[in-house]
Amino acid sequence: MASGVQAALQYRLAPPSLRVRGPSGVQVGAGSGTSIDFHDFREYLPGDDLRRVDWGAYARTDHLVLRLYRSEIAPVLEIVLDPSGSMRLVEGKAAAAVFAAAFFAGLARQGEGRPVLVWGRERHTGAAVEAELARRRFGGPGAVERWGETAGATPRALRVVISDFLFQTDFAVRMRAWARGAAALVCVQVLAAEEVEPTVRGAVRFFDIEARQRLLEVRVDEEAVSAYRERLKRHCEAVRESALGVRAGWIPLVVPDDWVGGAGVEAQLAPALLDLHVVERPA
Amino acid sequence: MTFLFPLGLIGLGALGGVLLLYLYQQRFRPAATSALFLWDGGRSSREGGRSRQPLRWSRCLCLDLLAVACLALAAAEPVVELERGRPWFLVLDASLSMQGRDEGATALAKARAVLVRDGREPIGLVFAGQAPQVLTGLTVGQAEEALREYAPYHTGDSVAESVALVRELASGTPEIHVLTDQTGAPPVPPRASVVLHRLAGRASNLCLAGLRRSRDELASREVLRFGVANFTDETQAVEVVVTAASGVVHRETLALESGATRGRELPLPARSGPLTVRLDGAGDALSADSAGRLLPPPVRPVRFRVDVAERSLQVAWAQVLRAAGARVVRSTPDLLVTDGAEGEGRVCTVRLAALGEAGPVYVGPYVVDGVHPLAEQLDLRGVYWGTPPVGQIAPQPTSVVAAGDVPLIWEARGGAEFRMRLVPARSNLFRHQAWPVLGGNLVRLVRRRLPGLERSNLQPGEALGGHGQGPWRVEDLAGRDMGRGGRAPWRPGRYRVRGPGGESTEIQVNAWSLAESDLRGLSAEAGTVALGSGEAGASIHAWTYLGWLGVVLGCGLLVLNWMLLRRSAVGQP
Repeated sequence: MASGVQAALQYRLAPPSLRVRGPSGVQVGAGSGTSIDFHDFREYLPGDDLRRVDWGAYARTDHLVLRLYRSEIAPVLEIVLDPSGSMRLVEGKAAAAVFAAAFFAGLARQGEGRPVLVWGRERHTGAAVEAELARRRFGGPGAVERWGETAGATPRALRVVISDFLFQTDFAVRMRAWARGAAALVCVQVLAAEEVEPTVRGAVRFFDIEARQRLLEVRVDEEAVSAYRERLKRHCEAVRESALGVRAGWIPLVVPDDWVGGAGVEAQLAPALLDLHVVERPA
Repeated sequence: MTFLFPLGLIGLGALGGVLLLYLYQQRFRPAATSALFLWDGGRSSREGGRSRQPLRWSRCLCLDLLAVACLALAAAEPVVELERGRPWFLVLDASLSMQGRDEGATALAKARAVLVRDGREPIGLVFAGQAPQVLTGLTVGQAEEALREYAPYHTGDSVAESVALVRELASGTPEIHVLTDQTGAPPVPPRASVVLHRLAGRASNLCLAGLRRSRDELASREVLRFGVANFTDETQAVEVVVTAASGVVHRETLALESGATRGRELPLPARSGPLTVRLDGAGDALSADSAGRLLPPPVRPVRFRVDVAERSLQVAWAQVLRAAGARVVRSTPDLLVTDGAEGEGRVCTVRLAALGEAGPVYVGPYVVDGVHPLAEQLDLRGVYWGTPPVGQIAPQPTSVVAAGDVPLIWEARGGAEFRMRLVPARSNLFRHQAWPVLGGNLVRLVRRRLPGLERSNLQPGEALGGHGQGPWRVEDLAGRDMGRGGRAPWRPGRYRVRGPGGESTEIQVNAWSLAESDLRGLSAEAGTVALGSGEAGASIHAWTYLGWLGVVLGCGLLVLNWMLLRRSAVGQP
């Protein structure tokens, strides 16, 4: 978890394109504000501060024009972490999900922003975010497909949903729900290597890790694995399409089953976030 | 370990069934998945289950196999001999008659011979007396050492009880050897074998009976009472010699017919010191009952004080109590006669009613509690008894003397106090013969309540009978502790009894018992008889223990397995 925070130190949020909302801070916002960074011109309206009038432009054009500067905000980054038991299928999966959440929390803190961790029905802010992440309480109660809804949402926050998305629901509807009110939505899918490329073979009694009474006895051979891979691919593609449909970022992560730390997850996560212009490297 | 029901071991075949079940079940390897729906549509379980795979050992399989094995072993009724070898016991008849039996060998020597001849260990030794004493797990050496405690001075036949006791105590099938002089044989209990070793010897015996020494307080003298019994087949001339420290004080020859008993009462001067009574006569087979030593009765002076205002009452009480052997003192009396409120903390208080106006006079008949020690041999015929006014005196349930329902003398404070209503000027009680009887009874009653022993001559095992708070500690004259059971030791001799307050009294234990001294009905021939074995079998306790242990273990393992299965919910944790 700490390594996720450390990794975030190399990046910072790039919110001008995200229109993130938040209280006054040091992070450059997307709107107009009181910073010294020039943002835009607009026509003078009665009541505007005359000190913002660009007198040079008035001299040139005989029009009263106001100079606008960028706002400085403390962005709110809402991390919605899938609390279901499937996230702890293997150690590496749970570690990667926590790493990713910590990475985003670290990003938010860097800009003196405020990370909010939504874990099932609970919301945590401040120092409780890191403390809750350290506890790794996967497998808690609550309907798997509805987590994150009841805990409320912070308007105009940068919302990050971290899950394996391996459940059956109408993802188009779900993505809209997650994207509602958010400045931007980023979906991070964490899958274990065993889930992407199963190594199990032979007669297998599969049981759902979240509902242990649900059993499925299957003879797993190359053909069955191939079919599994095809279904997984179709499922992930459908989720991705749903995410893109609400202009959400989609970042798939595949982690070794025994991953406990290292550059593997960061190497997948950071480039994707740079591509999505969610983060940028400090100059 | 053996099995009482070996067919139960067939149940071990169920182990194969369990393995088959697991072979069938284990063809499916359990695997967790986070997306069951992604596997749906694969080949079904029926097809999937056909592949052959080696049996995988799991925790549940091991628990199931262990449970089945435990239950199968329990069904076979396993038994274990908990002790090394067969338990071996020697039951020694500890009755007094054993003292004089077996020509040429004492019972002790015979017991040693039985021990050494068999030589098996461990040995259980039982002294079958009125209170059987059991020693177990002894070696031959320890058993021979323990035989020193053998004191055959008991009365009655308790061999059968001791054999039954051994059967209860011993596990397995004990071999019980019994050394006795009784003619009958003890019943052989189930799952035990009994070997009877009989002692025999001369049946002719002369004995002392009823040896007793008491002090007559009123007459200031002592009395020796004894009896002599002839348990031979002929008329015997028996010489009785009574010896004191000063020499022979009495000697006489009694002619006793066969089976006759004669009692004698000898007056002795006070403070005669220890006495020895000895019989001399032909045909005495048991010397233990032919002589006895008697100590003087314990001196228990009663101290009294009379605090009464009325002069005539004071004189009457002082005279009668002094005549009854009590001693007047000024402070801390045992007996206080008072007409005031004092009296708490005394052994006994007689509280007299205040005299006032004259009340009714009764001339009888009186209601006397004949079993009360104060009214023993009290005859009030001819007594007229004047009382203070009756007033509201209620009938007393503890009345000793009453006129109708009007109490005249009654108990109070749990017997520590007597209350008396009498106007001396209107009564002839003090001039009547009942008055010294009443005074003597009162002093005797108080004396019995004084701390310390009442008697100094006892029989083996007899209750010490002292008044006061226990425990009494008995020790021999060398100071060795002989127990705190409140009873005289079983071995005759002289002992010292210490009370809780440190007071010390010497006692003499004499063995005499007419029932034990009559040897005529005992066995005439010595020998060893094997009485045979009861129903053979191993220890029922051991069987029960192991059988239930198997059942409990097996069921426990099944429950544990069920809990593990329930927790995993996939059938294969």
